[in-house]
Amino acid sequence: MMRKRKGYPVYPLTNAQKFHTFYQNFCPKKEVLNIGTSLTIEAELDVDMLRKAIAAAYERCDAMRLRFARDKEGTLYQYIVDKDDREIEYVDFSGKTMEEAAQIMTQWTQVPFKRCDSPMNRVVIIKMPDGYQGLYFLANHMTMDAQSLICFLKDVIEIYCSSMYEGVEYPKAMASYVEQLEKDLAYEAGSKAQQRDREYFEKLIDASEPIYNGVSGRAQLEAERARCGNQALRAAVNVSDSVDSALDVFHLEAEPTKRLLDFCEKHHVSMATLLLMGLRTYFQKMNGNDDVSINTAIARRATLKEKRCGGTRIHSFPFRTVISPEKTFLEGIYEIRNKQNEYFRHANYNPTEYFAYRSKKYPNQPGRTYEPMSLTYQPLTLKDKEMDKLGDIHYKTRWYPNGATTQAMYLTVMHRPDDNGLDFSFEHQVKAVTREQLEYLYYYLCKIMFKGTENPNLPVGDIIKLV
Amino acid sequence: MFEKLVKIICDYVEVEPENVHRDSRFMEDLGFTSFDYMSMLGELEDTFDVEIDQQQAADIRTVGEAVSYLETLV
Repeated sequence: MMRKRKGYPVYPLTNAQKFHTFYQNFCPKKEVLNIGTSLTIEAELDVDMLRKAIAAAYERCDAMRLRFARDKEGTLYQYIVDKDDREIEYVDFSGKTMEEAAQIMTQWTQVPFKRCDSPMNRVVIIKMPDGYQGLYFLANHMTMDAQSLICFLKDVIEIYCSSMYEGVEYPKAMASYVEQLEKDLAYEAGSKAQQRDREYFEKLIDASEPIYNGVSGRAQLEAERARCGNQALRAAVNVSDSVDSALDVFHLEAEPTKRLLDFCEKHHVSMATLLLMGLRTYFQKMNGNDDVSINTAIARRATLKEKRCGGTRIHSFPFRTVISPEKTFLEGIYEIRNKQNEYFRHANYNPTEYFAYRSKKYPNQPGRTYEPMSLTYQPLTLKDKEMDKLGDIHYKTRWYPNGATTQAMYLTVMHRPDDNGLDFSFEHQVKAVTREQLEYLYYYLCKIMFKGTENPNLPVGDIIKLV
Repeated sequence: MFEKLVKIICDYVEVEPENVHRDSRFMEDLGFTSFDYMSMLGELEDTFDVEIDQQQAADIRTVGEAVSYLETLV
């Protein structure tokens, strides 16, 4: 067992990190774990001062200095170096088109990181063809998730603003990555909480076998049943033989977004609950099953220390809903909310263990699944008080596809900071799900959510007929 | 009980203790997400050595209601 690497103490991977390595091992394109984004502002930035702010943010964020190493047995470990002395690059895209600039940043996002003893991120100061200036940021998902990435970018902005503008305070210190890592490792080392969480999920799995619902109906499941001559089969293969992916983004405007948010506030439910209800009702409409499962991601950042420690903390679990057409939309919403609350209390459970237990309980050929897609709702945006201190300055964020995914379809719903609308970003295997299928899904998802929120006491079956 | 709860609340959201009142609402006033709130229940169970009913906890809106509920358990 490795104890030190280059003089630094080493730590095992957490369950969240192991889950990433689990699916990366099956993916021929190692860039599958890359997350690329840019944040640009309609303002002239002091590049030297921005470089200093980035360097300071690196020093304050342990996860940005995370490295990996393998021992002789091939087990992966992590350690944190004291300093990252890389020069922050500056790229001026003036003279290119916006599309050319985006294409170059997409290419950057599709270069895999070297796994061992190497930095797992890249920050570039950029000047866009439209004059906006800011940052391109690339990180490996083993070291950052969307929330910690946003937290790092906010830190850069706050440090920069405090050095540029009078009266802007220097931001509070980030939290220790190692402290949270040790908490996770203590949980995983056979704690009572782990046993409680394990019992909860095993009971859920034991209840009965879920059933697969296809994005365009029952054809995939029926084909699978015919192929193996088993009409009782409940799982299907929904991925293709190619991991090549595309990112299709649909924009919901600010006004309809507000209507959805108002509904959530009025009924004390989260947007994630409403999205799950909308999606599972879409699949119910398309497949005729009351029983619908969708993978959901839980960010696992509740305390301020968890929110500011960096790293990757996401755990994903299948979320099964059984809602009969006679139940009202609101009853369905509350059922989902209550179950989500249960999940939140047990979210530290190891997702890899979940899937291993389920495979043992309901043996299936490799590749078969019950979940047609995954959902992540990201409530955090860069829009906050520090950005407001820049005055009425416009800014843009953009995510770049890494070009590969091991899942058929992954939907991330995020608030758009510039106009308070919602972006529905579908990352999908090109050969598994088409743009037309996504347009259809998005169209009916919105129709279901608006019909349901406008008529919360309407039975789900009626909503399915009306949309 | 109130002071202990305020101390725990301040570990979860960016709020100064003096700004947490009995009528402060967890979501709307203090900025809790449902995940923050449900995670805090686990800490409250450990701190006060009680078992919290999730359904009842989900109906709690304010800090004062939480204090009253916890007082029935200890």
